[in-house]
Amino acid sequence: MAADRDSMAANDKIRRMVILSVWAVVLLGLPLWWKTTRVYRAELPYESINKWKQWETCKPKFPIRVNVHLSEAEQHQSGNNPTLSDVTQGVIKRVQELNTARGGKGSLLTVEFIPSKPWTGSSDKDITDRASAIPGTYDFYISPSNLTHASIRSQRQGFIQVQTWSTDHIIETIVETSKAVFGSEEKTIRQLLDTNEDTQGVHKVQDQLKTVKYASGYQLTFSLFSGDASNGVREWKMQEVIHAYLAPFIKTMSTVSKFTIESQIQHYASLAFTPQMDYGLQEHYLTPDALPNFINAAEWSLASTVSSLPSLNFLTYVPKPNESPLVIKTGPGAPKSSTNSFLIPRWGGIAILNRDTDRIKEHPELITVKDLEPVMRVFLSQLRDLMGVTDLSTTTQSSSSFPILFHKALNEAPTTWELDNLLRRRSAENLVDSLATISSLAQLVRDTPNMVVLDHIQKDVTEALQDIGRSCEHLSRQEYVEALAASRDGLVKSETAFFDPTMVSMLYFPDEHKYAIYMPLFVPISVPLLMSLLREVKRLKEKKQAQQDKGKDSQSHDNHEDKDDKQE
Amino acid sequence: MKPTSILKYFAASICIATTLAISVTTNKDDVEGFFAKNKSKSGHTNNWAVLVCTSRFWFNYRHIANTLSMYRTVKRLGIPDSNIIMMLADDVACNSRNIFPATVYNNRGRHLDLYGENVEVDYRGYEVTVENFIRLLTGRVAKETPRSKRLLTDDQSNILIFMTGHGGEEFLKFQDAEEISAHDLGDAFQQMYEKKRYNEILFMIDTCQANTMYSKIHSPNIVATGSSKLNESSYSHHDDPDIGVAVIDRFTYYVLEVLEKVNMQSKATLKDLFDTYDYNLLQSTPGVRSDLFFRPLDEVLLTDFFGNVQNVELTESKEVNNSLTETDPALIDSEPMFIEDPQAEIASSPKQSASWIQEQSHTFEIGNPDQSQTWRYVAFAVLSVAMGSALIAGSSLV
Repeated sequence: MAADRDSMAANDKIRRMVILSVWAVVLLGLPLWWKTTRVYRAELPYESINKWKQWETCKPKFPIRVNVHLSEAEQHQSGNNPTLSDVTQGVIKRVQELNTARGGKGSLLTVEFIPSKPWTGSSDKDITDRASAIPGTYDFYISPSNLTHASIRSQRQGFIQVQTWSTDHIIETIVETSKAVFGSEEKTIRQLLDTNEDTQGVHKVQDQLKTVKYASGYQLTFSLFSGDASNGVREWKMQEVIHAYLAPFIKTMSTVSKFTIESQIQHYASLAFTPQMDYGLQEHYLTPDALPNFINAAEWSLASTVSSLPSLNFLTYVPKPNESPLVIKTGPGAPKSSTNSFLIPRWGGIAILNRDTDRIKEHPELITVKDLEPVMRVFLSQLRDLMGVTDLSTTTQSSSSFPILFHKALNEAPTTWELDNLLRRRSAENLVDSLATISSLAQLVRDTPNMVVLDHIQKDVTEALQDIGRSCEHLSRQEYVEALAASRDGLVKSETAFFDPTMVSMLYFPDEHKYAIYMPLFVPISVPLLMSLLREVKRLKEKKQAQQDKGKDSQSHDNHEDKDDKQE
Repeated sequence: MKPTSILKYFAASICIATTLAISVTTNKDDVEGFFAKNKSKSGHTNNWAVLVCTSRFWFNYRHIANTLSMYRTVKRLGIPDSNIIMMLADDVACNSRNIFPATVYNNRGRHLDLYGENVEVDYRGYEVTVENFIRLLTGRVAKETPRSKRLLTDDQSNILIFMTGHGGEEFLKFQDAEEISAHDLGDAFQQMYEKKRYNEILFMIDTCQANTMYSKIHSPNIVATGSSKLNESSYSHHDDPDIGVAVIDRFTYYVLEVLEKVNMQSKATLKDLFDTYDYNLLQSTPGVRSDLFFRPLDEVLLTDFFGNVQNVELTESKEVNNSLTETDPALIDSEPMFIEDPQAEIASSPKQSASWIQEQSHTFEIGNPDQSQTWRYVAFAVLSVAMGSALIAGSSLV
């Protein structure tokens, strides 16, 4: 009946509205749910990081200026005077030739030779100019003499004596001196910056194994360990010794790192084992392979819990009277170690102090400054090694054809040459380390899509990249102290970003867990939704079909009638 | 029902099944890239140990005893407290059920009190959580964490990581409340590798189905050993009738038997230790994973991980008058290469049954991974077909 058909149509409409509205909620809710369950991830500057990794943004260059001063004291009558410009140009050409011979990689330490004002002296006492105060600018004074000899003074001055006073000979001597001074540094820096080098474990040079990682501050702890109380030692004059001997080193190194110094005394610090006895010489000795077990770590307290700076420990060990004197040698009758001390890589050094019997009689309870002087000397040389100050004299002996003498500074402090070397190497190290940290941070963020990345991490990374850029620029402008400071800032910021406590990714959940959680929620409700939708679609189709049929019936009916008409 | 509609529904359910199955298959990580690049010998200059006991409650006394025994060994061989991070999830020494208060023993004879003096516990009680453990390994500790609770390793540190507790297939239970999965461990080690926080790691785990826990590690220079393989439990060794609970686990007991004979000058190697594994004594199949480790195991000294033996350098005097003939510091590599190992009998201890030792080859110890994948496929296909047929049934009813 018509009324029924109307009500059914109305019902259909209502039903369709209901289904559509429920589905509308589902469809609107899906993107909302997706957006609100995403973790907050600030965008890291991936392209800049990639560009930096390939050194595209700024390639670190370490320019060095050498002012060449040629002596005018001796003027040969033969008129064969080498002129400054000839010499300088010749040196530049020769250096270029050497670079291309080496494979054309281009040198990182670009040494620039500049002709400077002439010099009227002929020996190194005649060098009256003040040395350059800028790291990276040096002066070479060249004069004739009866043998070829170079002397690198502790300030930024080098004095070269040439036997044959001809342009070629002078050029060769200057080039060789420059190679001797800067060659090993160039090699080290190249190894650092070459991104394909593996610098892990045994690939490291022995020297790099013992050098501590760069930090802007270190804590030095000088400890006195006394075997037992029967030797009567109660105090030592370490404070005076530190002021007297350590001060030049600390002062020179202040542009690189700062130092905090502590000292302590511990009594009854017995060794974990008994040293062997050499009856012939009446002394106790330790073999070199017993030395790694020297520190009785279980009983000697060496770690400082107060400061968070990296610490270096320097131990003075006064053995027990019944174990004195204690020396280091490989066996009875073998020569003993000259300093009775050894260095533990990246940790510090240990010196065994055998007190003089006369001194013990005088004042048994006090270790005087005179006792401690050789010990401090040893500690200073160990400190140089630990800090990474390269001793230029040891690296150059084999390669030069004439003697090159390196002057030392007071009390083992780094000379300016060594300090500049350290500045450049540490800057390069810091750049490489901070870039490695940032790129592994970026890799980590990319690998864990469900880890939160907060804004301050993005800020730290951007600022670290800016610091790296600043440092690189300072390097190219020969401002090495500023470059080290900027690279230090970059390193600190990149480490802060990497070790941020919020960077812990969500724990791993296998996909089965995710399905197990979502399925009981969504499957039961989805069945009626889907079924009702399918039913509506089926009903619509049937209705359309029915309408079509009705239309066809009426058409065929008409046709049929026509046909009948025709037939009649 | 029209056959075409049945086909349509069947096709739909097949689609659902394949999408579900594809999403749960795990792609084997391509680790080939690492191997060629990294070939390391021991270049370490310091040693660290991370000893974790994850169980609480009195009846897990033996797990605390395991960890404290390892602590004692590691200290005896020279690693200082500042380089040991010990995490004990419960305090059994001062438990009210302990009839020997303030002591922890690891054998029935009660010869040695492990909790006596000079014991430093860094993380205790409820501080032992999965989050703290992962933060410790990756270095992302909170800013106010004291120095003794940080793992301050560098690229020249060898780390021993010992974990004990209750575990299962690719997980380890922490405190009866949460668990750490093998994936999390693998990720943590990968982050340590990226940040160059270790030179080499020895990962030792004593739980049920322990070998599954190191199956997902994919960073180089890690050697791992576990006490039992998939579907196997690890057993305790013996109990003390007075204390009332088991006091030590088998795997730890037999490892300690080897380590107690080791002193600081010992030349015993990891291979010697792994050769002593015996199914008859342990009643479970221990495993070793060394495919990510590039030194051969018979060259790795036990003291490389359990002790603190370092290369030292003798300092020789340099002449003061700036002469050119300056002597180089005498570089003596003090790895004890020329002391005879008095403990040579470790290597020659009789092996009782040789057949199962084949399982200690340098490959995974878990069950066939492909097999479990197929089961996943099948399970999800069946599930989806069931869902599809439910839909069909539902539609036909209406």
